Amino acid sequence: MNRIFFYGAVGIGALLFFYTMHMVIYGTPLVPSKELYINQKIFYYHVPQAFLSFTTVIVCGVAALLFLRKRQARFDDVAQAAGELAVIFGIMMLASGSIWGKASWGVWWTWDARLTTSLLLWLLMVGYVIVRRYGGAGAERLAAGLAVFGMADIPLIYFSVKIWESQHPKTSVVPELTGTMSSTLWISVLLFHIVFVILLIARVGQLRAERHLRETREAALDAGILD
Amino acid sequence: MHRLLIAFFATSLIAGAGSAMAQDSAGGAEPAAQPAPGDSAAETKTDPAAAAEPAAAAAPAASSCEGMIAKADLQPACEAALRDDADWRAALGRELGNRIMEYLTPRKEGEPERAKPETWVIAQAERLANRIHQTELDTIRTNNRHVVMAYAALWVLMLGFVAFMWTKQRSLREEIAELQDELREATRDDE
Repeated sequence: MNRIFFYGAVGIGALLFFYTMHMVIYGTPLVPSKELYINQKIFYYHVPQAFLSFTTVIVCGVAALLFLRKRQARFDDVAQAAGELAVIFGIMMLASGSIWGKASWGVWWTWDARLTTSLLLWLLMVGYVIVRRYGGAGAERLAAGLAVFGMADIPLIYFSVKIWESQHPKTSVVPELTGTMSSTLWISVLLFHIVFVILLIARVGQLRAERHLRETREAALDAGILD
Repeated sequence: MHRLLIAFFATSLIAGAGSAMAQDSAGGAEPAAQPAPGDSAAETKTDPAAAAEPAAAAAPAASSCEGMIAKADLQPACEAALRDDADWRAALGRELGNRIMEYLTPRKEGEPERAKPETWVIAQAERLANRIHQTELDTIRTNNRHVVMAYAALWVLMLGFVAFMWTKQRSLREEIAELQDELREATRDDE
């Protein structure tokens, strides 16, 4: 069942990938602005990556909370995998946004409210991964605290453009889209979430295998089978 | 009295300038026959209230040499009036400014061009085409680079993570095989 779901998601993701690329290049209009023009196409990947960053951090935070409550290893595996993916998708979001900023504002980076809070979230998730990797015994509980803190940063990022004066486009841009721009954006969001699910399933499987291997080796050592 | 003369002078100047520009852009159309400003000035002496309309009607004055010379006679009177009344000077400045801006609006600016022959329009388009195309090409090349950079960053990072998982999977398989070998050795020793 899991295998069918996994390969089905891969197939749908592949189809949506080609469809999205076609729509982004040929199906969506060019913005009549000298600064944006073709650069506006970055929008169809940057916004889904931002949504996905939020999703991965929320999954990581919720799994970490469940692990803290129930102490079941499967929740810890999901939290660790989601944390690593949050770092990857966070870098993608920051990189694509930085390139957009260079085209639109003329600078690679600015200490704008949204950009700064997004960088803060990414640094929190990097800290989560480092703690998991090098924190030793009990690191999963310490890292879970970081994940929950990162989850709390998400509303701050989302509402930062409303609370403070920001160069970043407002959140009202997305609901106001129409036609192929809106459909392409939401299909791209779906595509990235499918990619996230695929990578999450694969990584959770690996972490589970590592844990089983470690437990098996320890059991064999305890039983005296291995030296 | 001075104000009326100056009003007439100002409107004549505006109308004259306007018709001169229109004639230049239209490529030598015949100027409309208009009375010289000096003739209308005599009428304004008798009836100041009614003089505004005839003065305005006669205002599209000549772009001819006679008209310009006639205006030059009024200049000292105009300068004197401008010195005497600051409020009126400010109002005249505003009026002149409005008239000039009205002329320079895109709609009015385009009308003389539209009156020109088509060969002139085509010649202008050909002259500017190369520059416009080059500018747009440079903009598109820069934009394309930005889009390629953004997508490259996306796929490089994603493929990098997939490569990380691939190597992790391989080391897991090796560790599983190693553990299986150790268990086999251990059970054989036991036997």
